[in-house]
Amino acid sequence: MGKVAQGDTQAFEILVHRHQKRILNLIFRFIGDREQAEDVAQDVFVRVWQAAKEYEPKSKFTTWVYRISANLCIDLQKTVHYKQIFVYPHFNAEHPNESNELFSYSDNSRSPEDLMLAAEKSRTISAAIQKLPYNQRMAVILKKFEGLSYSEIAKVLGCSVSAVESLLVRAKKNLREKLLPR
Amino acid sequence: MNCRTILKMFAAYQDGELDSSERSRVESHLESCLSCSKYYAETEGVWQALDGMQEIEPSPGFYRSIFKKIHAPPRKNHFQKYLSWIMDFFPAPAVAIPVLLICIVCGVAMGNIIGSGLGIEKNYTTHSQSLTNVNTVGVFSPIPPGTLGDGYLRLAGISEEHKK
Repeated sequence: MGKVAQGDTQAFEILVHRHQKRILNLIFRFIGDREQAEDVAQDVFVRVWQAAKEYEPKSKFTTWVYRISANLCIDLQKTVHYKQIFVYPHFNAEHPNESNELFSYSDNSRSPEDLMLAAEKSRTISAAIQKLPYNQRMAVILKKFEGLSYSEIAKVLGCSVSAVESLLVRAKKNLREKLLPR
Repeated sequence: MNCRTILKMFAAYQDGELDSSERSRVESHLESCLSCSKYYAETEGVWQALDGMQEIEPSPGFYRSIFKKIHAPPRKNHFQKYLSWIMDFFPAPAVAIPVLLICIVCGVAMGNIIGSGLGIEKNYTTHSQSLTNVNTVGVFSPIPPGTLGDGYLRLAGISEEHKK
């Protein structure tokens, strides 16, 4: 990170390659749209480059990047929510780019039926996650997919550990209601 | 410990965030309470099902796009564009304000000079007077008898005769 702060593009490229998949998937799980997720993930790294000089290694680099990602994701979702209500009331944000995700998983070892089922399952889970409120959604993604502790999630979201616990209690209850067959 | 308290602790228990004493309390409750153990098993099942959400790979041009975004000129909205244009034209508000005031004063003075030179006010009065003069209606002659104009001229003629 020190080299990146000095403007070393090679160091920055290594940094991007090391973290790009993790950040991209974090954002994709939050937004549910591949193209938008790529765009936001790129913006995250642009912010990292621009703010590299101001970065102080008080906390882990990943926590800092997660925080930038969470802020951008939540800002974007608020904008989308605003546009849905006031600008494009007929826009369907639940499955904005459905076909892309459905066929983007290439795994030669599985049959087409298995791939279709897996994609369908993935889409159902994604839809359930995206129905959660922003903070609950981010807390679930950071806990489940990134394996962060409650205190790390609290640092990313800028809240207390007890607030994170309460967010996850409510998120799990909501997911249970959405995903459990009745 | 009752079921309600235990339910609130499930998330932290599941995520391994409880200390050993709290964990043993939850575990002993789960062993004794059938409904709570069923609820926990279902919640755990839903939590595990989230693993079914698949991962995506970054596109091959991912880094190149970042590089492009970094070196792209900063985007400006319309307000910022106009503001920067104004600021370029007038380098400082200390200069801009006196220039604006001088322009206003000069504009008012020029307006007065040009207005008095052309005699706009006088012409206007003459024109309005000519409009009120009944004789100007004569431009419409010959007027067909029985029309509104003809009637008006007759009335005017009568009033002129009365005056005499």
